[in-house]
Parts: sequence; C-alpha cells; structure tokens
Amino acid sequence: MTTSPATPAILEARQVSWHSRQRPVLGPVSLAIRPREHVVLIGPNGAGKTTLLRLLAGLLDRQHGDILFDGTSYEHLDRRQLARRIAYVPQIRPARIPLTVQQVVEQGRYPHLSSGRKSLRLRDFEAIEGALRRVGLWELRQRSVDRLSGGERQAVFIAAALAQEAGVLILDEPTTHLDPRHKAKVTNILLRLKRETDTTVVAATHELRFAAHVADRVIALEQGRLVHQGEPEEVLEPTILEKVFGIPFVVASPGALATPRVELPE
Amino acid sequence: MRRLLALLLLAILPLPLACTEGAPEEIPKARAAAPARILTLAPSVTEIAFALGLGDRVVGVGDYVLWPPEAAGRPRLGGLINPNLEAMVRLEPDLAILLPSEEDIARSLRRLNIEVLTVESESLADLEAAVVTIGRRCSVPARGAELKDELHEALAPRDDAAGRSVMITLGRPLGRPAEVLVAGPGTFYNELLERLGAANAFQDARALYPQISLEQVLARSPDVILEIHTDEQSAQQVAQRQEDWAEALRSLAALAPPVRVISGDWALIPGPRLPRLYRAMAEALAAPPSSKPGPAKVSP
Amino acid sequence: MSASICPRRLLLWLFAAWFVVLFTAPLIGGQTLDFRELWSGDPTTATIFWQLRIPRVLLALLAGGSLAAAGMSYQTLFRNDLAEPYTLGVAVGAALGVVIAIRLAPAGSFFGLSWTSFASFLGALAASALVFGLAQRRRSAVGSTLLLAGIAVSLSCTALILFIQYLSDSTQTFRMVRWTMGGLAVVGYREVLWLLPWLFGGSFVLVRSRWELDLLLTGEELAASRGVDLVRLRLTILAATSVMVGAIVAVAGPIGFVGLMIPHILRRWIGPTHRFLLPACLLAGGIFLALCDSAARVVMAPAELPVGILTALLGGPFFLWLIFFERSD
Repeated sequence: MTTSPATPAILEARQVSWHSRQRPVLGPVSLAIRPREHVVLIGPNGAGKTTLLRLLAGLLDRQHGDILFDGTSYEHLDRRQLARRIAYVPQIRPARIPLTVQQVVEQGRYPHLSSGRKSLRLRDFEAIEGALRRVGLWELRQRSVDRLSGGERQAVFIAAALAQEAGVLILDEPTTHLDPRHKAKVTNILLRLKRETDTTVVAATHELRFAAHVADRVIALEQGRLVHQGEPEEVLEPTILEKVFGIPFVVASPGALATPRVELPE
Repeated sequence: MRRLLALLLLAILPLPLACTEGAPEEIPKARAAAPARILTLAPSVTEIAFALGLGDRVVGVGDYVLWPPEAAGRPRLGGLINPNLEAMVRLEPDLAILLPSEEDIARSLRRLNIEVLTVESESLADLEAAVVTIGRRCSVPARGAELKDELHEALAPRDDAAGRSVMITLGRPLGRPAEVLVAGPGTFYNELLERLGAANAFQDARALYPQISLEQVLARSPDVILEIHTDEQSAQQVAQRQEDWAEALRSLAALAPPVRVISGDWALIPGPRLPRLYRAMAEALAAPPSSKPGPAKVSP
Repeated sequence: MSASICPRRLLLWLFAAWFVVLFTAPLIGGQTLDFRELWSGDPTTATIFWQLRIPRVLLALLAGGSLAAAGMSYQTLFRNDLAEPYTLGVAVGAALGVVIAIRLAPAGSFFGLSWTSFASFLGALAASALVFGLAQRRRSAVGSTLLLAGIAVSLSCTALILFIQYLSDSTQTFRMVRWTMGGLAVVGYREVLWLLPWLFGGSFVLVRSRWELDLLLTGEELAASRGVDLVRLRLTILAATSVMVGAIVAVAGPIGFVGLMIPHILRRWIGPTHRFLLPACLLAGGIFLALCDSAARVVMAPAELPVGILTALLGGPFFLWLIFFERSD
C-alpha cells in the first residue's frame, strides 16, 4: 500500500494491528514515514487514529506486525531509549496540573537523565530554554500551568516534547477544543518547526484546515484501515472526504496555492 | 529490580538487632530480697496481695481496683487500655504482679529493670496457685499456704444445685433481653457451677464470654437464669429484671425459668472473695424450681 | 497552587523545628519534668526522660514522617487526594495481620522478626497487592477504582478483625483493642532502632523515585511517553510504602490521617514537586505526630489518650472538608 520512499524511513509500521477486548480497532496497517516529513492522520471518530499514534509512540503493545525506528524494531528499544527518539503529546491530560510551565518542560529532559544522578545540567537547561522560546512561552515560564489558556497549555506540552529532543514528535489532536486564535498559534508553532528544525511530525486531527496547513502528506483512516494517502491536495478533496466522513464536502481552492479550504455545506 | 534488591538488603539489616531481642527480657534479675514496693494492676491480684497482708507494700494499683478500701486510695496507674508507665516508674517499685493479659506492660516494665511476677487467675486452680506464688515471692509463704487452704475449703464441691442447667449472664442492661453476654466454658463461673453440681447451659460455647441471642436461650432452655452484676441491685431492679425475662420468654415459649440476681463488686472478680460469690450462687441455685422467686438478692 | 513560600527556606525551618520538637516534647507530659532534677541526675527522672519520653518522641517523629511520605506517594501515584495508608487499606491490612498474630500467638520469632511484626508486614503487603491487583484489572480510571478497592479491602479487613476479636478471649481482645487504637508508648530504643532501617530504606526508594512521581503529575500517558515504566514504578512504590507502613503498624498500631493531612497542607505551602515535598513530608509528618502525641499525654492527664484516636479525631473532619470544600479553588 505504501509507496516505497526514496530516503529510508525513520518510522515504519509493518502490518501492525491492534484490537481491544471487544473488537478490532486497527489494522493491519503498513506505513513508512521519512525523516523531516510532516504526516497528518485524518478520519472520523473511532477510525483508529489515536491507537495508531500510541502504537507509534510505543505506548501500546501491538498484537501483530512490527514497528521500527530507523530500521530498529521497538522490541530492541527500552522505554527510555524510545523516549529519547520519540516524543508524544497526548490529547487527554489531567484536568489540573499543579506545576509551573518550566516544571512541565523540565520533565521533557527525563529520558536524558542518567538513572543514578537525577539532576538537570547546563545542557538540559539549554534545551529547556530553547523549547520555551520556540513556542513563545519563555516569559511565562514561572506561571502555573492551570492559569494558562487552553492554547498556551497545548504549547507548554509541545515545548516539553521539544525539550525531549526526540527526532520524532507525535501529536494527538493538537488543535481540538481551541478557539481560532489558539488554533492559529499551534499551527504556527508546527510551521516554524518545519522551517527551522529537522523534526519529523506525525499528528492526528479531524481539523481538515489544520491538516491542509501543516501536512506534507495526509493519511485518511477509516475503520482501522489506511484508505487514502498523498499530498494534501490529493486527499483533501470532496469525493475522498465524502467517502471517509460520510458527508458531502465543498473545497474552495483560491489560486494556485496548495492550501485547499475545506468547508461543510450549510 | 536493583531497587528491590537494595530494599531486601536493608530488610536483612535489622536481623542481628532483632535476634538479640528477648535475651535480656527472659532472665529477670533474681532478687532474693522481699519486695518493699509492689505494683498490682488487676483487681483480683490486688485483692490477693491485700489478703496476704501485703497491703502496706502495695504502692500503686490499676484504675479498676475497688476493694479493699485501703487499696482504692493508692495512686492509680491506668488500666489495661491506657497503662501509665511514667506513673509506674515514679513509684520506684521493685516488683509488679501482673496477669498474662498485661503482657505488654510486663515487657515494658522488665525493660525498665522492674521485676515482674506473672500469675493467672481465670480458673480456681489458677487462683490457688497465684496465692501461693505471690506469698512465696513476697516472703509470706506461710500466709500464702494458709490462704490457699482457706480458699480450697471454702470452694469445696457441694451439691446444692445438683443436676440443674444454669445460664449465667453478666452485666445485662435493664430492658427486654435481646442479646446477652454469658459465661462460657473455661471461666471460673463454669467451674463454680460444676462444683455446685450444676451444668452450664453454655458449656459448649466457643468463646469465654460469648454474646448470645434470645433464640439460643430458648434452645438451651436453662433451668435457672443467673444474672451477675457489679453494681448493687435494689429489690426493685431485681423485680424489674425478673419481669424482663418473664416477658421475653413468655411471648416466645412456655418457658419460665426462675431468674436470680447476684450483685456486688466481688461478683466479677476471681480473687480471694470468690467464696462469697460461691455461697451466693449456692443459695441462689438451691431453691427448688417450683418455688416463687425466693431470696433473689443474696447478701451473705 | 504554585509555591507561595521559598521551598528551601521552609525545609530549613522544618529541619530546625524537627530538632526543637525532639528536645522539648520530651519535657511535656502528664507531669512536666523538672530540668534541674534531670540535670542533678535523679535516677527516676532520668529513666522517665531517657527511657520513656525521648524514645517515644523519636518514634513519633520517624513514624509520622514516614506515614506522611507514604500518603504523599499514594496521592501522586493514584491521582487522588484521599489516598493514604489508612484509606487504601494498607494500614488496616497490617492491623489484620497483627490481630491474627495475637490470636494465634506463636511464641518465638520468624527469621529474627517477632511474629507480630512479620504478620504486620505480610498484612500490609497483601492489602496493597490486593488493592493494586483489583485496580489493575480495570485499567480505566485507576485513581478512583483504586480508592474504591482500598475501601473494600479496608472494610473486609475491619470485619475480619472484629470477627477474630469476637473469637478471642478477653485477654487477647484487650490487647487487640488497645493495639488498634494506635499508641507510641515504648520503653527504650529497641523499637526505634528496629524501625530505622525499614523507614530509611523505604524513604530512600521514594527519594529515588521523586522524578518519576513528578512526571505522574502530568498524567500517566505522558509519563510513559517520557520513558517511565509505570508498572515497575507502581510496584516499587507500593513495596517501599508497604514496608514502611507495615513496620510502623507493627510498633505503633494503625495511626490514621497523618498521611492525608500533612501532604495536603504542605502542597499548598511548597508546591507539588516531590524534590521538596517529600523531605518536607518526612519532617513535618514527624513534627505533627510528635505534637499530637504530646497533646495526647497532656489532655487527659494522668491518663494517656492513644494518639491514633487523636489523629483520627482531627483527620475525620479534615477528610470531610477535603471532599466538600476543597474542590472549589
């Protein structure tokens, strides 16, 4: 199903499937993600987006198939090694987080601490400062996370993931539940990442506009299967979207810019 | 896993420490001299000490001691629940006489270098042995032997209540009896009943003082119900108690065993005043079953 | 909810207060000790001071601190403010162990541990294993499931304790009742010395897990994604706290609510990061229990109130307040 990429894949899923106690949720799915690529998964609720992300992040044990990081199977990587390679920003987080912005971002350094001596070094503080500045939270670093707006909070967790200095960043619904201004803020953070860093990004969303903005490649999932993939213009078009989501779409494409606008009719 | 290993290593650390435990405790310093300052916590032990003429040497007593009056005036040292070790140390005693139930206190006192003599007093044989043991340790062996013989004689078997099945309840509150505390096997009440030729209706109970329901009373249908109380019961209260039982049993079955009441602070203490309880029981149980509630309150 | 006091300064104050309590609390009691008598070498006063009061205050300082640290760990681990050794059934499990040991009363010791201590450890471990196992079966909502499992285990253990007490003779029952009230009266230093390695070992494990505990504050999934082995972390912390609680219960009986009140108050003062919170709990928990015990010696003098009753009297209303009024902020 995947077209074999020119460069070797940094993340590769081979015939991966996962089922809960009651029903099959995902797969089998095969997928290869190249370094520096920004991939966005779209699909209706229950399509298996989060399951696929959690499998890629090493948080779920796959029941079939294999997942490889840069050619190494996850079986040969322990949690800590995996955490130095892949950072994850989940959608669901505790309602109250009684920490300051900096304290949360410091946690991103955990996989880099030696297990015996667990204090931060200069190198760690540099990474923390870099991450905070990149998401524009350096000034707010002493603020309590609970006092931030939803968008700023999302930025804090992206910063923590950046401080983790993993090559791959996995984001689950990064813009959901945010107002338009904060959606734009998170989108801009990801666009900056693409411009300024080598980070590979895998995100899941049902915000098609967000997908259109940040993706190099869009992958559509339906009922645990990978049904379409390709450049945003190829996938985010009415016939495919209607098939995936089960409702008609209108695509307005102003000019030659490859940023299709997706709107629901009425 | 390394953590768990470290934990395990730490767990072994206290072993040498714990192994030494007990060594100094089990060898109390043998002091030949007659003790001059004695602590007694339990009422029964206190009464034995006073009966042996050691009253002047008893410097402190437990909270529950009521008799003899001289003992009641001694400094109080707390009860089983809240023993006051500091108060005990302040009295600078050279002997503490305790029951097995006071083992925790005994251990603490031994560590404070206070000699502890442990005696038992649940059975009649225990009582006699306790009298002799205390007499010997306190250099009044003759008085001890004498008291033992007195008790032995006063508690000799008789057959006042031959063949009767008796239920003994302790401290039953006034009102219709629903659940009552009864004397089971292994208690001195059981033994006293046996010596009177009677049978304990709850001889086969599983606890020393089991709580039983009215249903059980009916099932066992005792010939006599004997209520024992610490507080002096007035004639009116005794009548009330008999009325309680009559009412409870009448409504359920045609069972009307006579109800006898024995009361007094001596009635619950397995000490040297047991003969008094024994006589009271003999008298209460001797009356023929047919007679109307006779001498319900017995005060010999 | 962020720190309102400089954490380092507060730790320093707590440290100083710990020593102040160690040397002043022994002077308080049913009868206040006269310093001059102690100085002049009066043997009775010296015995009371050195053999009764100092060990007792030391025991309170160590046990209180460990109970608070255990409570703090449970609250973070299970994301529930109401979790502590008492509510999770660990203390009650240990109590059941001791009650069984008193009932069966085998003489002698088992690998150097007295039977009651051994039974206490076993009870604490069994209760936490049971609670953990029950909660593990239902992965969702670990926090609340765990607390419910804890309550169920607690109630069952309490019922068994009552049952065993019922079957026991009055002698044993008295010992059990006295012991379940919790008390710190000890003679000499044997208990304190015996406790030390367990409490230090457990605290050491907790201190080493401070980063992992911090990571749990942002959620289990994030913690796992940063490389924390959640199952191992839970097992490590449950093992360490079971050992601490089991040891304390073996010596002092189940003392409730210290592990609930102290971490909660300290969190408001110095924030939730365990680097500061854990040592603060170890110090403040001890100070609190030592003060409670001093009060317990005085309020009903010359009789002494078992300290477990006093902490429960303070803890019950605190628990209610936590449930009904705390959520508002």
